[in-house]
Formats: sequence, structure tokens, C-alpha cells
Amino acid sequence: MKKYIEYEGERIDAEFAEGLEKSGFSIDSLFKDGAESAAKSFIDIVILTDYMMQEEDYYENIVNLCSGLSKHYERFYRSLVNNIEKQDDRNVPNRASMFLYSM
Amino acid sequence: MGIFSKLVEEKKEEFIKKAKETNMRGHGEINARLFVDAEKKKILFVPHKINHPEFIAAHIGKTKEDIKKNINLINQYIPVTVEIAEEKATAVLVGISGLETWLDANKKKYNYGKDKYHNKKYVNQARDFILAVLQEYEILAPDFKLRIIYK
Repeated sequence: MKKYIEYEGERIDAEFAEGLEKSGFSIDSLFKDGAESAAKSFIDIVILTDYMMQEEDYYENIVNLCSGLSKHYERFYRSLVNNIEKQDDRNVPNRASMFLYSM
Repeated sequence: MGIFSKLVEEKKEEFIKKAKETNMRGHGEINARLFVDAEKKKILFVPHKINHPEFIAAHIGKTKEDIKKNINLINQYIPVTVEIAEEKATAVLVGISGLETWLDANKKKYNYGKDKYHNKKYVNQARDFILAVLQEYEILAPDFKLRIIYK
């Protein structure tokens, strides 16, 4: 049975969080380091996990993490959009690209 | 080319032209940014210089503040992103956009509680509508991927 961690009422798969830890990202830090830093790291996570995850798990975790960060930081959405615009999208995989440009 | 095929070809070209105008990607790929008005069964193309919250506020003739205070205003407008490669829609993402992410920041302040921004019926209607359009215009790839988010 899957285990989940909650951030701002949003469910994040514990395995997803552990996978990120191994790749050098801490979800706890995302919720402490401020909106700008969180937005930059979130974009990196969206891209990185596209290579690691199945379709359903990918969207569930990415969407919930995005919602949690947006609830946590009022400026998260603005920082996210600004950083997406700066992104060089040449090497962004397709699912990540779809999600990021849907923002 | 028969008259029916010509009409389909024209609709396809028009859709892809409008899709390109919404696109923020470089290097030839298209991620078309749309809303489906689930009530009116209509596609709204979001120009690439405009974010989803600003676009929908202008479309309904309200301010973003109005939307924050009354999320029912955007219930019927379902965001859709369509990935197009070599004139074929290879993936369709329904139900999530900058609009919902922006609203999440206001969830506590305006006490939306557990309310969804869009009711499930509208999300499903929008999915059916966009797939039918893409099929009719012969844009939908046979092995397209579909992901629906209920927000």
C-alpha cells in the first residue's frame, strides 16, 4: 500500500519524495526556502521526474506539489511563470514541457 | 481532393495556425494552450503573451479579483493543452493550467474549502469535445496520450 506525505493538504507519494531526496531535492526545503527558490527547484523536479516516472504517478505528484507550493507561497505562481519564460526548452522532455507550458 | 476533404484540410490548417499563436515553445514543437467553454462547446485559444488567469478574466469581462472572490465564474472554462508534433496531436492534458495554480494561492484567504474549481461534468464534456474536434480535423494521432486532472 502506498504511503503519502501531506503538504498544505496535498498528497505527495512518499516514494516520490524519497526519489527526489536521492537526486538532491528536499520537499521540506521547497516549503522553507521562499517562492523564487521553490519555483526554480520545482521546474527542475518537473523535468527530472519526467525521466523517472510512469504517467499516472507523474501527473498526480507534480500537480499536487505545484498546488501545495502555490497554497504555501502567494508569489509562487508569478515566480513559476517568470522562470518558465527563462527556461531553455531544448532539452525539456515532452510531459514536463506540456505541464510547464500549461502554466 | 474532394470538397469534404478540402474542408477538413482547411479546418486542420486553421486549428494548427491558431495553436501556433498560443505556443511558448521554441524549436518547432507546439504545446497549444486552450480553454474549452464546456457550456458553449467552444475552443478559446490563449495567446502566447498572456497567462491563463488574465486571459479568462478578460474573456468573461471580470477582474482577477472578481474571480478570486467567486470561483464559480470560471467553472465552465476548462483548460486544455495539446501537444502537436508534425501536425498530429500526440498528447492532450485536460483540467490543469496556470488558472488553477494561481487560484490555489487564494484558497485559504477566500475559503474555497474542498470545492473544485471545475465540476467533473464540465471537465469530461471538455475532454469529449476537444477529442471530437481533433478527430474531425484529422489531427489526433492514433496513439495519443490523454491525461485528465480534476481540480
